[in-house]
Amino acid sequence: MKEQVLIQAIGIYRRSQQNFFQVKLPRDTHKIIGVETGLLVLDSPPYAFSPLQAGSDLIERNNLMGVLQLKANGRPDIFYAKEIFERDLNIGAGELKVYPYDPPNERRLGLRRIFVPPDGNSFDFSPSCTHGTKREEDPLNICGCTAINGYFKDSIGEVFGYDVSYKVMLYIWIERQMISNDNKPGT
Amino acid sequence: MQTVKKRFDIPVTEPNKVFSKSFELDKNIVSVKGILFTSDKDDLLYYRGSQKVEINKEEIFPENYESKLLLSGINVSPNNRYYDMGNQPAGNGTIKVDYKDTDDTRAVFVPYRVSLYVECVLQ
Repeated sequence: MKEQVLIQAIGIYRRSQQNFFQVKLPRDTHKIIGVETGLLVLDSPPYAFSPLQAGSDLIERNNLMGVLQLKANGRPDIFYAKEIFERDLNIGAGELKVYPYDPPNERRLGLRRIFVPPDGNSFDFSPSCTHGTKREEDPLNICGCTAINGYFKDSIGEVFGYDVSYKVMLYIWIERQMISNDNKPGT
Repeated sequence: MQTVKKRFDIPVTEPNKVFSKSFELDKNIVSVKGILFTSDKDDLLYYRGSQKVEINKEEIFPENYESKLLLSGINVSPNNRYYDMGNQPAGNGTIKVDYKDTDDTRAVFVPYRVSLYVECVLQ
């Protein structure tokens, strides 16, 4: 048996877009052992995905990008469904943070609005990369499946009233029976 | 079982480009136990990165496998940070990484460094 991952990119470019797709599994697939998902945002309204300002004590609602559903071919039921969120905005909510004293100053207020590209020290504003737990697939055990029929429906476009472009990455972990033809005569 | 950890760096100097690098393990390394990706700018690796990884010409992670799936945050115990590879035979000891940077509106590009940490088992 050998594990392998299959990757399917689901592109969404319009609000409320529905995407139907099919993932064909290799012939020697023994079973599906897990599913992972990822997200790549290509175009969004300015500041749409900015987290709360650092130091705020509020909890913010996570952005639901859409809902994913997977079905094995020849079977009526959905075997996997997941709500895809942009990220966990409150992942660092319980963190203690130390901010340098910054006295109010009219000149500085103007300077504060200057955009500063990420430099590796601005984690207060994007803590998912530092504070996430270990990413592992959702374990599954689906045998006798040759193709997966999938469905994804956009939600974030409806909320923003804007055509948000993004790609949902779907990772399907399978277990294969590696049957070698190397030693068979005539092959 | 004695293990050793190795680090290999890939400088990412331009956006939306693939950076391919091959690394050689020491001859006395028999298998690879775990791998881990980090960066000097974690947010860029998290949002923009994906890679293909081959060990001994065997594909371990295919093209477009996102880097965030191989990152561990500081919430993870140091003992659990490596992605468990079982005991992948090192073979000829060559690790090939095709790292791809892709635009994402949440992280604006600046040059950054991607580091691959490999936990190896010695002979």
